[in-house]
Formats: sequence, C-alpha cells, structure tokens
Amino acid sequence: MIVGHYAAALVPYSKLEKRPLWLLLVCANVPEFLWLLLALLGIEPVSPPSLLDATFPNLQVAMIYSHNLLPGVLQGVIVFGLVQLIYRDRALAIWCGVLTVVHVLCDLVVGFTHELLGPDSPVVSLNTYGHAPHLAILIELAFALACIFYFQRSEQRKGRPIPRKRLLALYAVFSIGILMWMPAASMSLRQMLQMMGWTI
Amino acid sequence: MSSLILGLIATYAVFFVLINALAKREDDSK
Repeated sequence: MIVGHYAAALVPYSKLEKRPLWLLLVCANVPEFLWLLLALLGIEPVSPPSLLDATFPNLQVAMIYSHNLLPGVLQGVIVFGLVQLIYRDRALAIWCGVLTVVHVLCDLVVGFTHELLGPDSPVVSLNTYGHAPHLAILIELAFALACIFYFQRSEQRKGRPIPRKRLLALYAVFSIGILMWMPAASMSLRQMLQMMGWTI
Repeated sequence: MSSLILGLIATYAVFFVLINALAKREDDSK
C-alpha cells in the first residue's frame, strides 16, 4: 500500500478525543518512512531506481528491516514506547504502536514479498504487486474507503458530522492518491510517454 | 539519488498535508 496507509489513522482518530491526527498519520507510515530512509542510505535498495522505469511488477525491493513481519512488530513496540515516553498517554501510545504493526500487516496483502524475519525465513506475504497489481490497488482503495466510512459514521454518531464538502474531498483525495498508481501496474511512465510520442 | 524514492517522499508529503487538513478536528491540538 502507499497512500491508503494514511486511512488507517482515521479509525483511532475517531475513537480518541483531542489527540493529534498528524501523529497518528505518521505512525501509520513508520515502516514506509523507515524504508525510504534505508533506501536512500542504500541499506534497503530499490531497482530500477528511476521513477520513469518503475512498474509494480518490475520493482525489486529489499525491505528486510522495514517491512518483514517481526521487525515490523518490533517497530510497533518501539513506537509505543516512544509515544508513551513523550505523551504519557497509554491509549494514544497503544494505537500508535498498533498502527505501525497494521501497516506491515496491510502490506502482507497489498505489497511485495515479505518474510517473517530475515531474507531466508518463510515468506508471509502474497506479493500482490508482483502477481496481481491491479487487484492490489483495488484492495487498497476498498480498505481506504472503508476506513473513511467508519470515520464518517463515528463522527456522525458523536454529534460532530464532517461537513459534506470536506468529506467528499477526503474521499476524492484518497481515491486519486490510490488510483493514480493504476497505470504503473502494467507500464512504466517512460513507456506511457513514448506511446504519446514523447521520448525521454 | 533515486528519483523513485524522491517521488515517493513527495507523494507521502503532499498527501499527508492534504489528509491532515481535511480530516483534522479543531480541538486536537495536543
């Protein structure tokens, strides 16, 4: 998953009162931010490195520390500890840790190949980006829309309905952010530009 | 530096700002 991970943060945000949404959004993507950092450092490299050549099926990624299952659980424990230390708020800390682990669990369904621990340990993911990238993106969309719907209903029940325009914008932002990757499920940006007569 | 990684960082940043602005309540400034 890519943008869809942010939607998970809306579930605890609707349950917790007066907690920072930005923190929940960050915690919902801790494994991804760790991966981006490790990729920049060359520890979890990605190939092809160019945005022009990448498609979901041709991407080769190493996500041992950021996205394998047990390292993901460890990240959740660390996030829980850090949030508890800083905010002294058990409920917030638990949800932040859970969001971090949920990120890894979601990527077992919508993502690349991930193992239990190290590269030689059992594979625990479906590698839908490799085998069925279009379906993977649709699952991500369904997940995000379900989270927004839960948020919408929860806010309504608590007597603070989300204004219609903001709600529609929220649905639209997630839909665009997820569906914009659909072309990359089958062809690279370079191929698309070439089809339109542009050569890069 | 990988343009793919930079593109992803930009994507995450833009959508973070958008989603935070749209979903944030007024009273969660803790």
